[in-house]
Amino acid sequence: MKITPFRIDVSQTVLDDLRDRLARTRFPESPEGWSAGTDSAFMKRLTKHWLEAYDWRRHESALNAHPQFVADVNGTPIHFVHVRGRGPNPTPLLLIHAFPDSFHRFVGAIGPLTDPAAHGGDPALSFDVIIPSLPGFGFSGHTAMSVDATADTLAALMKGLGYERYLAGGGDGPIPMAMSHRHAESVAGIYCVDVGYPDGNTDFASLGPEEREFAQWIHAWWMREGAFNMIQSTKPSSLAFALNDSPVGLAAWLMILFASGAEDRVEERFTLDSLITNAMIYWVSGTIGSAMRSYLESARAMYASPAAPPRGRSDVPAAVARMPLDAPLPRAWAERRVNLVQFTEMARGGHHSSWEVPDLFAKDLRDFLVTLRRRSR
Amino acid sequence: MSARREVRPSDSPFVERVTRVTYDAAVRELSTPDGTWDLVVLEREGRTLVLQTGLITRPVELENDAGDAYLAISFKPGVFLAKQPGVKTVDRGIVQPIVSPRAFSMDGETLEIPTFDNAEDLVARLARRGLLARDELVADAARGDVRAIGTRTLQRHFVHALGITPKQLAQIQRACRAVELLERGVAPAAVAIEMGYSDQPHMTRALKALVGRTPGQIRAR
Repeated sequence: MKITPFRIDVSQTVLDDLRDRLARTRFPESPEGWSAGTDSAFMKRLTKHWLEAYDWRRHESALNAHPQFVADVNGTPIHFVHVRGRGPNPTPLLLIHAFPDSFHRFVGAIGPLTDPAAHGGDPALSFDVIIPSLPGFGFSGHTAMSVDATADTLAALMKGLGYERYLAGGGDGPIPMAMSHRHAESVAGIYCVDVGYPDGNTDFASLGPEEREFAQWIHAWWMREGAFNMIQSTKPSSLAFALNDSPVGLAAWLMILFASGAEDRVEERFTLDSLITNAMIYWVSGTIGSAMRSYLESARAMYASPAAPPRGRSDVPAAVARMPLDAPLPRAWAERRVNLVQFTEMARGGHHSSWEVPDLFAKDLRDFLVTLRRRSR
Repeated sequence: MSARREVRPSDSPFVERVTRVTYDAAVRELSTPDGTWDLVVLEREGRTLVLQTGLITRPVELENDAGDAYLAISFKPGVFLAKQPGVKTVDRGIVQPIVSPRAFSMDGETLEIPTFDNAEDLVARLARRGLLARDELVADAARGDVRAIGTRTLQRHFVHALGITPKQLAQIQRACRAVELLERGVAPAAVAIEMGYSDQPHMTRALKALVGRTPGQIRAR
């Protein structure tokens, strides 16, 4: 596997063009508040901040403070951050982002994970962290891939880096769960904040009362908030023209999931700067089209073999964190979907725990490591 | 092992780590650049010696006999002795006079000789008496924090506080990380890529110059 060092270096032409587009934004006449989608007052604040206060070069330097590389994985360039742990015998940890975020979701947790001693943790519980940009996202190749193809690509990346056994996850469940099914020999454990949702393959008769309540909550959520998934799984290109042409349009679409559940607190949870940096990663790389198309690839893979039996429970040891601002995930549902060895009811934070509460996130991962070591004795 | 080594972190804002080494047999070893300077208490043949050792830029061979021991208080980058900044001490050791079995003298102050467990007391006293200075610019740059700052200014600050340039510190830090990875058993070719050396021979040359050993010798330990 060919690996080359990488630094983010966006040309001034791209930044000048962005400034021009931001300054000439045609805001739609949409109502204030979040009841019909992204709040126009919020977007005007964000745009003003982007134009007047946001300094990409500062954030670019901060991102470049982390060693980054591009590996050629079976013909697809995969960008990744690779930081080695400090301490005896660090555990390799593959951190897997999702949509509408980016590798940036994990940068705040790099310090606590790689150097626990400097963050009030035990140096014996340090990690080597590997944070790829998914295929089709950010600074990786612009090839949209299904969840399974992504799982295979990330497994090949880890093998190419010389990691035989590692932990995977850090947030959304689908890719780490697919890795646990397809690469069980390499994945020693998975860490997720979700483990899939009740759907057409669920035996509803067997659900307990808490799980049934969860299924109803999820159903209502799909109806209320889930349209993005349907669009991206069917006609992502129809939307990509607009989002690749308008930075404000792009940022407004990405807000779909960040605001979910606590719209009034979105700025204190994420800060405008970090929301803009996340949008910048999509903008400067021009990857919103391929990122959205990854949903279509997954849908195609699923419908290509309708006769295939649904995947059962994942057997790899799993830690699941229930985030207070995320779906009310019952322990019983987690036990049904994965080989649950740790279930944490987190005190603060939402779906993007590594971004919102990086110290709690890192501590939960260290606890997972302790749990796994205890089990293997 | 013929040497017992204990290292502990520190909660002092000035101290990087505290190390104690005791030799059970005669040992010749290389002390290699690590980007820090130290206050060292050396016990040799029943005599105590207090040294301020500046940053080193090349390996230094040390000869120790059975029964020798030393304590080293390593300071964080950007912290320096106001009257003896890095520029005056780089690649040198300055002996501080011993004034009684329990005290030594530095910059006209009488100070208690520190131990492994109370090293921070001495550092706090140095700070209280204004002997310790801290250059925030150097501290941030050494941690990899990026600031919009003219490199010539940064260069001047570095040379005063540490005695070396930012580039030299970066090379030392990189060599130290490379040694860590090689000792963990990571393949030399992978370490060279990961640490940003242009190729493996480049890394080998850099390690020879700074650490006095080749990747092969480091892995064989």
